[in-house]
Amino acid sequence: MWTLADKTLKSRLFLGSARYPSPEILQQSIIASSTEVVTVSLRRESAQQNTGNRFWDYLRQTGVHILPNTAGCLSVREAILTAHMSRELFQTHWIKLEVIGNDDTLQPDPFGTVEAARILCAEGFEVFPYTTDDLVVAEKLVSVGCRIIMPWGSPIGTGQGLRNLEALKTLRQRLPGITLVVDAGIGRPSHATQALELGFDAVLVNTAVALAHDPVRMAQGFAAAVDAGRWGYEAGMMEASSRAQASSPTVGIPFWHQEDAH
Amino acid sequence: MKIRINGHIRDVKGPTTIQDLLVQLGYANHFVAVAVNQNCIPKQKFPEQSVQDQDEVEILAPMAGG
Repeated sequence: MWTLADKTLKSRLFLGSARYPSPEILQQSIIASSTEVVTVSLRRESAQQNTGNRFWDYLRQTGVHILPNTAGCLSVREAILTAHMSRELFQTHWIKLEVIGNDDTLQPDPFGTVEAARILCAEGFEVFPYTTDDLVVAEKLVSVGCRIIMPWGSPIGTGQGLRNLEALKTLRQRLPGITLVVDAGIGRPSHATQALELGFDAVLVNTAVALAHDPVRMAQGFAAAVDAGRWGYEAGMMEASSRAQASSPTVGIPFWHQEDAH
Repeated sequence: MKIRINGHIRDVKGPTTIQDLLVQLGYANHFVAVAVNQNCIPKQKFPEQSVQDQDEVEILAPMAGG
């Protein structure tokens, strides 16, 4: 069990809800993953569609904690308004803050993210800011009230994994009391394991599960991967060495002759 | 009166509250959040807050998101 904001959770895997083949497969994947946190967005809906109701019903049946996002927001003003509307609709003070600075890379705007986080933290939101692996930006986010930081592994949807391990290690070392969640760019279960081995508290995965040939099986894979990484971290892993060292005992090696030794 | 609903200008019978506007537009049973002129309106205020000519209204619903 671990503490995320004001909640106690078992799972260190968060799931995004986008790009699944169907709402049914999304629901099955959520259940198979054992995740307790799922992100959602707010979008315009025409009166004829009513897809929002159906999607919401599927999600509510899983009993997960909802983490609304401000995806698509390009300004502080848009992000703040989206956060307000999310809080009103979902009755949660959690908000995954995204203020995007570049349409091509979907890289977060560090200045807008910090400013929006400052305002939202002051209004009582629990802000989960999506950011890069930049330490200075992360420290600024902490200084304005964030207790959770979500650095990217690599750009959203790319599946490239953890592109800058050293930067992520630095974040873990320099922000020991902050909840760190790798969000974006995770492509396969081993990426998630790697993040947890580094000591990150959780990972948020969307595309890697949604676009898998078998999303439900992939969701199970990620659940196991996150556990493996966390257990490795807790168990204390050996240090890598450049020098080979035999693992079998050297005393009593059969067929060994002194004159042949080298 | 003319109101911009989700980016499109619509002719709407007025005066009207947000509650009545949602019914008029066909959102009566939808699970939605509403903003008027970039201000989020709490649900309990839907029956009492009115919309004016030239207002900008956003009607947003939960959608899949990462």
